[in-house]
Amino acid sequence: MRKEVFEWFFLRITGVILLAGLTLHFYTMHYNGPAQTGPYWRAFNFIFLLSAIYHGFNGLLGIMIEYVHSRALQKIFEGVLIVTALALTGIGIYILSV
Amino acid sequence: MKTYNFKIKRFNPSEESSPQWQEFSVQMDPMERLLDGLIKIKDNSDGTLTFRRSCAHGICGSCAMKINGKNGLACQTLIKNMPERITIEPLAAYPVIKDLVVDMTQFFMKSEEVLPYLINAETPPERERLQSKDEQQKILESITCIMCGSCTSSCPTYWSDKEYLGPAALLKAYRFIFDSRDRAFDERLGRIIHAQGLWRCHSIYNCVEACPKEIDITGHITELKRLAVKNFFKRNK
Repeated sequence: MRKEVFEWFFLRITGVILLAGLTLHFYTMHYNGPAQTGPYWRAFNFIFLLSAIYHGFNGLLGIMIEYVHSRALQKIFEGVLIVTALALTGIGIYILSV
Repeated sequence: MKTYNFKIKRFNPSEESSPQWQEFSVQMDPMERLLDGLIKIKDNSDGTLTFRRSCAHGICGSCAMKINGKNGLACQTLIKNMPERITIEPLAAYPVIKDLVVDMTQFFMKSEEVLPYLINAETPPERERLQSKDEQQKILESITCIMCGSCTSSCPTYWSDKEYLGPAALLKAYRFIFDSRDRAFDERLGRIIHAQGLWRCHSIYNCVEACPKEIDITGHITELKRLAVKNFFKRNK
């Protein structure tokens, strides 16, 4: 049960990162901000990617728990969400590394 | 005296397949309460109209119902503050037994899950277990809960997820967790930090709007979340 405490807390942390990260992301990508080059930008985008994936998929897991009531179905959906999250993380890391 | 139109959602699940609306015209004095109107209907127009009432003074919580779309106590709603057309429904999310009477078994079982009683095995003092003013202040608002069920019934998470503990049970947990005289901190906290506990509260604030005792329930739940996180890091040091 300790797991849920950490999950919720980390959801808040990633929420704050996303708020700041999205502002920076929109400024640099869509409003003629500085070009995103160099190791610092790469590190920023890596943290931004992981935060977005964690925050988004944890939110989806929460919604799923509230609307799917069979334990077996919950396990299946949880598996699907985790696999999708991992796949998207992989694709994201690949794009950032090329 | 003024005439009010009561539109009441009526349902007898043992005899009917779906709820029906029924309207009544009632002569009311501006100093009367909504509950008085319901009693007049039962006494003079239709004796089969079913609703709960006990103290009629906002303490027992029996007459909680949905009044013009908002949960509240019929005994605490003054008719002079109401429009001429009043829509009355049973509390949402609980199974209807008949008309405005709902089955609150699940609601009370959720409260039971958080051990809603003082646990302290220490030898009691000669007189009562004393608290400082500050210690009392900490739980004062949560103590005023009358368990009417308005909050849990108004919670959108509870509408979709009946396994969620709900605001009333979490408030009850707060009431004892923050009680300086209680000693079952770990056990009680353990009973609210699971997936169907604290974390299903998304700070929608419906419970706060619905509470006839004006308790900031969401605020209390937020305090519990903070406490759970602080406790998590303290234990993992």
